[in-house]
Amino acid sequence: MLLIQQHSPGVVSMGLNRADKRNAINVEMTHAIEAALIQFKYDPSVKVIVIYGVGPHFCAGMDLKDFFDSSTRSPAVLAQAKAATEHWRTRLLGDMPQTLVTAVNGFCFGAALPFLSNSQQVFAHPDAVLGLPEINFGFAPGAQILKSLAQKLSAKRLAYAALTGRPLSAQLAQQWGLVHQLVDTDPLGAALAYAKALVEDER
Amino acid sequence: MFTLEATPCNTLKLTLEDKILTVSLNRPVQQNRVNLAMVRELQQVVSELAFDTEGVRVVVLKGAGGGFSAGFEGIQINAVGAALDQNQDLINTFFARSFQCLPQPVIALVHGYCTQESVALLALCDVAFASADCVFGDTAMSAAQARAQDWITHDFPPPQLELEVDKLAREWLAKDPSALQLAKESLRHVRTLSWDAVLSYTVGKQAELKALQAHSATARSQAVQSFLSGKSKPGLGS
Repeated sequence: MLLIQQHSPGVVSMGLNRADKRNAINVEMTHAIEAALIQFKYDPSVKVIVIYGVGPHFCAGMDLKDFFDSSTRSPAVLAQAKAATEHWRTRLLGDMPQTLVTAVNGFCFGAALPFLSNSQQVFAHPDAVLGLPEINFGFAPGAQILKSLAQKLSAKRLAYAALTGRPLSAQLAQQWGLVHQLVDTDPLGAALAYAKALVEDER
Repeated sequence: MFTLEATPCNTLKLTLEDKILTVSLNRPVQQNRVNLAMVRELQQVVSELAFDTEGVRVVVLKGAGGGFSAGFEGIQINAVGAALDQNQDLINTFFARSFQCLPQPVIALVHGYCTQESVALLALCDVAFASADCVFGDTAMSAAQARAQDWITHDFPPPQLELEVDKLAREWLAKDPSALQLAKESLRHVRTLSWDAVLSYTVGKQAELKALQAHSATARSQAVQSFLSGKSKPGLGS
C-alpha cells in the first residue's frame, strides 16, 4: 500500500502504492499513511518527506468502493478507517515538523489534495490533472478537504473547483498556487533533488 | 414558487429559460448603477428563489446594455455613522447574505465595465466570468488584475463570454441540486469553522445529503454506477 524508502541523509519518500487502482486510498492504505506519518513525526533523523504516487498517477482520491455507499466493510472497520483518515489529513499533515515535498503526475483528485495543500513545495508534471470531482458523482466535496484547500486557494478559485467539478490543468493549478513548479520529465526526481539540497543547506 | 409574473421589477430584467434565471441589472442609461430600488428588487428575487429549487436551478447575474455596472448611486454598505434604519439594514443584509445563501449556484457574466463599488456584487456570486476587455474597480483595473484580486474566476475573449457562461450553467443543470447546495454551503463556512467543528459538520451534512437523495434515483447513484462500470470518468468532468 505504501512504498517507503530512505534516500540521501534526512530524506525519506512515501509512495502511494496501489497503481492498478490509480492509488485510490482504501482502508489498508489509510491506516498505513497514518502509521507512517506518526513514525516520521517522532524520528529526528527525518528532515524532509517526499510524497508521490507509484506508477502513472498520483492518487485518484478515496476508494469509492471501500468508503462510500457500496462499501462491503463492517461498520466498525469503516469507522476506524475514517477516524484514521481524518487524523492524518486534517491534523498530522499540517502538524509535521518536517518539510513536505510532493510530486504529482497523472490524476490528483479529491482526498489526494490535502497532500498538496499541506506541502511546502509541490512539483507537477505538465500533463497532471487535478480537481474535486465529487460533484460529478452527486456527492459534495468533504468540508474538511475544502478547508484544507482554503489554505492555498482563494475563495473564487476554491468555489470553481468544488462547484464545477471540472478538471484543473497543472498550469492552472500552478497559477492558482497549488503547484509550485512544473517538471517536464520527472517530478519525483526533481522533488528528491530539491529535498536533498534542502537538507544539505540546513547543515 | 418563483414566477416572473409574480416578481414585477423596474430596475431589473428577469428571463427564465430551461430553469436558468437570468437577472439583468437594467438601468442602462445610468450604467446600471445600483440604487436602493435595485437592492430592494434583488433582495425580493433572492427571497423567492430560496424556496424554489425545482423551478430555478441556476442564476446568472449580468448587466443590460454596454456593461455590468458602474457603481452605487445613493447607497453605501455599512455606512459609518449612518442611522441603521430599515433601508440601511436592507442594504447591509443584501450584501452580507443574498446570492451567497441561495441553494442555487450563481454565476456573474461581466462585460464592459464593473467599476467603482459594483465589484461588491461579484463577491456575492459563486463564479464570475468576465470578458478580457472589461475594466474593474475604481482604478480601471484589467481583467488579469481582477483575477489576481479574486474578483473574477476567469476571463475570456469577448465573443466567447456568453457561450462559456451558458456552458457552465448547463453543466450545473445536470448535477444533483442537493449536492450543489451542500457544496456551496460548505464553501461559505469552512474558513470560519475550527478543524474539530468542520469534521463534525461534514459527518452531519453528508448524512443529510444522503437522506435528501434517498427518495429518488438520484444523479448520485447513477453516477456511481456509471463510474464503477467504467462508463464515465467523473474526475475528467464526464
